[in-house]
Amino acid sequence: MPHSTLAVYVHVPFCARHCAYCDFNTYVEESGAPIVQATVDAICEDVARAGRELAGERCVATLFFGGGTPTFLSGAQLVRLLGAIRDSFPVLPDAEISSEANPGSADVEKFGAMRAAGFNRLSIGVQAFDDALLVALDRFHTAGEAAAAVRMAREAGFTNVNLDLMFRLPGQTRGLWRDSLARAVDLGTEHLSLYALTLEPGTRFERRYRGGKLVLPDEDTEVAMYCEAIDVLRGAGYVHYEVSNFARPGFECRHNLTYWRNEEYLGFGPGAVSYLGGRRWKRERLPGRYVAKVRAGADLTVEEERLDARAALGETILLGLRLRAGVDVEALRRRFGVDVGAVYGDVIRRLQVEGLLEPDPGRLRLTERGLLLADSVALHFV
Amino acid sequence: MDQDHIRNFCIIAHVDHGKSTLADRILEATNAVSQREMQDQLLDTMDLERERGITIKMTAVRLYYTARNGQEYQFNLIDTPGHVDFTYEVSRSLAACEGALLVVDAAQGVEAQTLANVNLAYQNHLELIPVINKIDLPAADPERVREEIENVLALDASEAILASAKQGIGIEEILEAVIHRIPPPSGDPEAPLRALIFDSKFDNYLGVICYVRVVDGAIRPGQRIRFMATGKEFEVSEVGTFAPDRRVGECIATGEVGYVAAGIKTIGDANVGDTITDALRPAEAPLPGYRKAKPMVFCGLYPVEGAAEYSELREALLKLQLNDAALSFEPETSAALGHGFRCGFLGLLHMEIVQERLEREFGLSLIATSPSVIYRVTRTDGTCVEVDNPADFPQPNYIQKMEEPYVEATILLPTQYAGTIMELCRERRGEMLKMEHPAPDRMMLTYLIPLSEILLDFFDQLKSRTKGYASFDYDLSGYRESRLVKIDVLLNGDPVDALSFITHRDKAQSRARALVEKLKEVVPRQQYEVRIQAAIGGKVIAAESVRPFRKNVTAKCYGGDITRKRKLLERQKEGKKRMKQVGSVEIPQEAFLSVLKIGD
Repeated sequence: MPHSTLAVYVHVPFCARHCAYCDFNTYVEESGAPIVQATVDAICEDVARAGRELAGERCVATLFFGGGTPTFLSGAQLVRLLGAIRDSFPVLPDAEISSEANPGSADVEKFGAMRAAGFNRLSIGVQAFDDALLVALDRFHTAGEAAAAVRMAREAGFTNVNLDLMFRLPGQTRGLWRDSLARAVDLGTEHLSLYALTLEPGTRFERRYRGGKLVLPDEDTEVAMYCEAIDVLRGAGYVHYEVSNFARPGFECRHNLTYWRNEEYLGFGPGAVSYLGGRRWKRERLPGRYVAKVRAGADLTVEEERLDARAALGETILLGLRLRAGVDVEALRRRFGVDVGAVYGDVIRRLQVEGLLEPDPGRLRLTERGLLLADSVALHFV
Repeated sequence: MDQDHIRNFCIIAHVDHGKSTLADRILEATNAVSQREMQDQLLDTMDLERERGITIKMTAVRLYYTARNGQEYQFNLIDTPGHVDFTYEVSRSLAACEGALLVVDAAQGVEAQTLANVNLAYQNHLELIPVINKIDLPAADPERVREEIENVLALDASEAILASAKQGIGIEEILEAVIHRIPPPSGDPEAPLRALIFDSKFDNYLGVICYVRVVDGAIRPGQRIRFMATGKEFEVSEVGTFAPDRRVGECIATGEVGYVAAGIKTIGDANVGDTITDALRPAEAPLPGYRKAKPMVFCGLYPVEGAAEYSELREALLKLQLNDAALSFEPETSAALGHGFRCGFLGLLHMEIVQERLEREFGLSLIATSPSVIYRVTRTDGTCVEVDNPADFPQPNYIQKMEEPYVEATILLPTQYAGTIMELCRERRGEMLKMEHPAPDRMMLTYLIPLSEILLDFFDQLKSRTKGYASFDYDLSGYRESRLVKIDVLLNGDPVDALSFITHRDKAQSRARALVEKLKEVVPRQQYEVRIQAAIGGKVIAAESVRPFRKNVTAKCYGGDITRKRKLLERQKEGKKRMKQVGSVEIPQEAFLSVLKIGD
């Protein structure tokens, strides 16, 4: 077995419908559309090629299927993609293999097939347990279907399930948010991701907001929703381990921890980003072009950057501050040969005085107030 | 050329009434330039002038005209700046002439500047030839305009020439009128030299070039000359004329107009209005009317880029000053804006032109603080100080008396807008002196208004409230006692010196309120609450606050988001560097810009 590990991400760029707030690289297609099968084929080829290039240097510790909507694909297509990874890379026996799933495309047989093939974690995009809110988000599932999806996952044998929920939604009150949290806690999933709605440029929500047609809860309400969620979930036995992520002890998402620890990953599929050997690059975004380039054996890179030690250090701190555990100062010294105290001493002291950083000499760690202002804190380190 | 065959004249007109076009036609008609060389409005040389349609720096052109009587005449056409800020320069160029063409637009009629210029021409005893221009326009009404000339300007308009400079109509008649109606110069060729400087500009090769009108005697290369106001002496290196290109000559004789170069390094040694005489055989007395250009309006100019552009700004101001004796500046330091210069200008337009030239010709980006006039403050100990900078305003308990400069403003407008303009003047603390009806549907208002009140968008308001039909001119009328206060702006208790201003007590509340409200819009939310206060002395008269932001954290940050996130933060960090720190508060440059732009 090769000794160094790798996180692998597979991007499935298709959805049955486009959500009003989403700016991900995703395209609305019919499930039987030729481009869908062509893309699956191309991803398999993309994986095989990378496998040959890395020639068994790395073994896969975590694997994550995201999108888009991975469960937009058939069970067979998903199983085939997983097989392609296994064919090209050694996958550790205890590897975490996750897939995102949409309650609207949940089906117990598909979940069963996935579980049988080796998927061991499901992340279900519930967003809200309120039908009116789901309509407002242009989602096409109901609260009942979301709960059903969780039951199906259990039935299929998944013992590690995540739910995505959103707050700061149009028309969402603190009461509605409390209800959604309670439903999630009742369902007892191992992991919860709670995302504040972000208005991304180019989305329908952002356009409506700019046009004054979308009214969102004010900042005080948003802060209250977030803080309340932290309290409720802590009380329910979840560990708040990242800005937006909560898990029962031992169920933290190992794949995503790779990102927040600024470790290496390979991404396959249209628009997927990879980070390896100080280089970060993005693959062709459009499925049609991606397929064509894979078939032609062409370079898939559309954007790339090389990170010098200074930029990588900044990123490591910026990402690490998102973790409630923070960043280990000694680890930074080992990794970058940098004494953080010497470089950022003044900034750190000021942030500590302002009550944004914990006065912990061994770790850079945000206080609860600092957590709300994580980006303002990170600004000082980039 | 013998004196009888010399005619020195200028063209006076309101903006856009066709002065430059008429000058171009005259140049063509006298073959000074061929049609081919003709560039529209040749006399206006700077880009800015062309764009704004105004003449900032005048030029003198020598032309030769063969009249209908078969004799050749030397014409010296002196161009005059067309704006009130340059009244003194206009008066000096008029003093170099014996006559003037008074151009009035056949459709628009007499305007405020026409009146101001005619008054100056009277003071200089000029023979005026009314020219009703643009008679080809469909809206032309020469008879009404003739009436206005008689009623408003008290001029005999029966011999007014009907012309269209654009179409070339009436040009020859104008040239003949110049010969027959404008007197030749009277001066003594044998008397000691006396030459009036009516303009000067800096040339990289020749040094300062003085445009002069020789009143007595003559001026030649090699001559030792003295500037009578400054007492400085130089040796003439070159004389000549512009026709319109430079022609080196041997002599500028009595009654003639031309230029003199004498290796003069600074424009301050050759002031407009000064008299040049012969150093070895000096005249007994200088020509009348000299005064040094005195700035009336002041503001701080600061480079947006901070220290990096400071020395560039100084270099640029020095270069502009070479050609602009009226521009003054001295270093000034603001806690909020860093290092800059306190600059003095003849008026608002002069200030705008200088700022625009600094930005356009020198590529600087500037922040200008609120313009201020010169206030006179008498302290309790009886001493008097002139204050052009709010920072120097004495504490209220040391003030015995305050005075501010007033102007007499003349406004010509269609009668239908009288109500709204009288309202505007009232708002600006104006006192009506006269109301006249020079023509049916036209009204002429004369007001006494504080100069400070017209610094802030008065002209814009005038234009917008009359759909552009009002014209306006003003002349300083002296100081009057006033009740002034200095307003300080504080952010979380720290004063922002760059935002302080002096205003009338009755305006303090509304201006303070407008300013804090504007600041509330532009000060970005910070991690802490920002209190914005306007205060007189220690007393807060208006306050607002900017709530702190409570949450600033990206919800989702996974593999594909990292680059974008880092770059966003890097950009924000770059932006923060450009912020000005006032106490604990960070303010973007743009905030200063937008706050300082507000009017009343």
